Amino acid sequence: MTTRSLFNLIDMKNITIVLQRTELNYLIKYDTLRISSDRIINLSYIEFKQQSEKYKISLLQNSLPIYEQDHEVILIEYNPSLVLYDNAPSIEFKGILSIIPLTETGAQLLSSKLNSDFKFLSPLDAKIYKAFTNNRNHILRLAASRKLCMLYNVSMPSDAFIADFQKATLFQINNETPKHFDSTLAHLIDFNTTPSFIPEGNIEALIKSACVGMKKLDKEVDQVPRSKFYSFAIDHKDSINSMSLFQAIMYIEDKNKLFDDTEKSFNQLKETLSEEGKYDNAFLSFSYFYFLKKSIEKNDYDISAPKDAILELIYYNSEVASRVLFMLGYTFSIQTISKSIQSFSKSELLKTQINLDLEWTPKEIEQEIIGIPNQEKEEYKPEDIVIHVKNSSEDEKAIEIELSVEKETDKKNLPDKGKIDVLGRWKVKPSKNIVIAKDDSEISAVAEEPSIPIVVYENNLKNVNSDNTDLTLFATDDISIDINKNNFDNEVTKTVQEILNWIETNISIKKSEKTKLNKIIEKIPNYAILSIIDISSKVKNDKLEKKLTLKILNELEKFYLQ
Amino acid sequence: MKWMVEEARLGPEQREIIDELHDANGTAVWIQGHAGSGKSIVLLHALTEYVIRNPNSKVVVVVFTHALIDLLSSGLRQIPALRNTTIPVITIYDVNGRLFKKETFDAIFCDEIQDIPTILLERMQVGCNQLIIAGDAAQSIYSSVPLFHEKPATKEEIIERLNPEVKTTTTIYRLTRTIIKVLQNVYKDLFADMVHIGREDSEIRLWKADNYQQEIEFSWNESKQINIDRPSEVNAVLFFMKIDIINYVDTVLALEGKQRWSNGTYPEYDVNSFNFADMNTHLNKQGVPLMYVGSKHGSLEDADSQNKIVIMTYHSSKGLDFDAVALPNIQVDLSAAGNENALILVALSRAKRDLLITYTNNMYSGYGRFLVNSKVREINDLGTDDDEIVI
Repeated sequence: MTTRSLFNLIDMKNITIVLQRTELNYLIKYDTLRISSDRIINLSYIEFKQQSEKYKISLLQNSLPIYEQDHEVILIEYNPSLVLYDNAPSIEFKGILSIIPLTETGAQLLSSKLNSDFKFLSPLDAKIYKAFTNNRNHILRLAASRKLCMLYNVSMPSDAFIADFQKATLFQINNETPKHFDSTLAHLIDFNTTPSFIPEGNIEALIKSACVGMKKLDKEVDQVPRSKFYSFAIDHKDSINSMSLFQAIMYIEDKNKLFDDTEKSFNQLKETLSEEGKYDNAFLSFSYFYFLKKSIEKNDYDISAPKDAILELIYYNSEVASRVLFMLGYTFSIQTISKSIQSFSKSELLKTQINLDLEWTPKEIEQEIIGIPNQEKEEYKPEDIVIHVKNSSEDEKAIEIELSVEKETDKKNLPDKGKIDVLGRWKVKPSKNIVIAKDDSEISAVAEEPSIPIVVYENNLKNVNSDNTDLTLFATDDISIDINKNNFDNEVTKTVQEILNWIETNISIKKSEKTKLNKIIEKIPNYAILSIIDISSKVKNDKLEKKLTLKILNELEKFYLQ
Repeated sequence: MKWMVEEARLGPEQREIIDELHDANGTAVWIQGHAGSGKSIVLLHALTEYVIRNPNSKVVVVVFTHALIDLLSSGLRQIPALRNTTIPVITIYDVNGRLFKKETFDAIFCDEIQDIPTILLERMQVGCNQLIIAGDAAQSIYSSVPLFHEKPATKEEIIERLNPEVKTTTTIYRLTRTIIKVLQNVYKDLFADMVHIGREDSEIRLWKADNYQQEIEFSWNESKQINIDRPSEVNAVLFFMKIDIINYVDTVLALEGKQRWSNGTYPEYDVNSFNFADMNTHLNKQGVPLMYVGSKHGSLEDADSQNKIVIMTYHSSKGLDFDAVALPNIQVDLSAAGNENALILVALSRAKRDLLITYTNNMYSGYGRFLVNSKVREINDLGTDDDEIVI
């Protein structure tokens, strides 16, 4: 260690050094301590206090390390002639002239932890310290916003919006309540309770946005249950909660247009939140903010937990998504979401690399009509049937299957229209496991995940003879079978047992193929089998029938047995 | 229930305590701190450090209630370093029995030390090589420890008997801003954690009734509606005494048009009325979504999975928290409780999102001390018909 002082001996003003309390403990214990040069403020404490506010904040920002509680960091006034150099500046215990706590609270806590014989000066000026912490907080929060936006591949919002939001957060940081004339962003941050009159689900975020509107209008939040918007939302709660948040908001937009008074009140809410156009799509932004915030908080600050909702928003409105992600990052700050962000960083330190897949496309709600067959053909060919297998949806609810065959459509038994698309086709989730009947007495072909009632399937067949020339015979999220109606007549379907009998009787296949066929039959949903047989039975050419059946079975095998 | 905090997320005070524990070398260590300061979390992390440094050691965690056994066991399961280790979590009664039979341990980690009698303190000290305790003597809520029939050890007695190294956690992490401000009216030395903007705060609502029936009807309807609207939450109704629980259950059953539970009239009930296992069965049969949890009856996990509202005493609720809490009957005199401030602190600090306080006629003065000048919403009629709601 060199003993040459780091400082000019002619200039013997004291200096101020920033230490962490743990470093002070080691300095006390080991008598010397190496520090980094950025911790040294080359001013005496008196000189420091005489600087401008801006400069003082800048000095503190550059010298103070990251810390969480006021007593973790202290300033010390130090004799510069006792700063040594040992690969870095090095200080000794005897060079400490006094200790300066950051705050009164820090002083109280330090006094209980340090030697009571130590000389303590008054803490930093409270106003300066507050300004410094606000500045430090802003830097950390902005860092979180940047990381979050980058992770989801959206740009940061405008500087004007960032400045507005920063200003809005100061109310809570300074423990103040915004007035009605303050920005709606301030009310957004300030409104951080969930009153018990708000149900769970998507509706929670929407009603909270309404609460922000109330506050902006200088009304009490508990007036919200008296509002038209609240009544409307509660009336449609089940629908609102059953879809994605974006769809729920679009649903509300559409439904509100149906009635003048609800449309008027909803428009009033939107205008209030947007501050008459200053913040576009404020209702959408605020609702998303509350929804995503809750989702992330509930999932241990995992920023990928509401990924689908975020990606949907990005898809439909990337500008709003940018604002929402910025607001979320700023609200949480880096220390809250750093672990989650780091898990997607592809850092070499991590044993497991996780990828945040940003691919997202809207789910198809209506089945497409695909592959229009040539209407001029008189003879049916297998190519007329086009089978498309799509990715399965997890969202469809199971429906009970009716095993009895009915000749006529019983309209009373037709399922809820919500589960049928615009062409009257039933939307189902394909079942995966079927127990095949062993004898005639028991039809026990039961789908573990039940599928379409026969009556609906028959209805679909009837539609073949409707005015629609090209139809999807039936459709699921996984499979659609499209036909040209001219090639088929309106034959009633068979029972499952009849189907099985038919297969065994009419399809002459080799033993090895039969084993495979049995496996396929076990796996394929029975409504698929029914369709196959119906299609096949309508084909007049036996050879073609077999070929068609096998072709369809093979297609389905690829999907179900892969 | 995920409540454990990983080591990297601990506050600096908490980490410091854990780091210093390995210097204990057999000296008892006392982790002090207010409700919500993370004492239990520090205790479990301290245990983790100990087990890692002493891999074949025989350790045990001691708690007061069965609900806390579930809670701390779940906390231990959330610590990755302890995944392949089985650490027993037992009650003070179990450990007392085992120590009485001269069983010894390498280390005992005991929570809620303020509710433990001196005889057990001494047994624990003698029965292990390293004793680490957590709790705040100022928060003792028992005038006599059940079954021991002795008063809990005072702070002075703990220091005298154990001569521990005292480590203090001053920062409150778990409690919301609103609740901390309420508690600071009485406990001036509470410090809140760093400001988290946008962090969900709780709401305190206050409702005064003219009579008991009216009060319980209001309180029950609120709890019931929350249970319907917010089914993923765990809600609770807390009382000072078990007779108040029985009275509440009978009143709710009557409101729902169901068969009464108890035999007798408040406050005189027969012995069978205190059979809380049977009470739970009765409530289940009547289709009323209430479950008594305490003294080995009911379970928080079952209440959660079955979407039932938990009924508990203040004492049993210590160490737990719920999304919404109703505190009916706060006109009841708590002076018989011994340390009524500590007991009211427990009652007021169990709610994360919503705290509904109701009373008939006059609030007990102890509550008044806490609620003065607080951000408490007195629930009035929601405005007149003349008030225009434009949204």
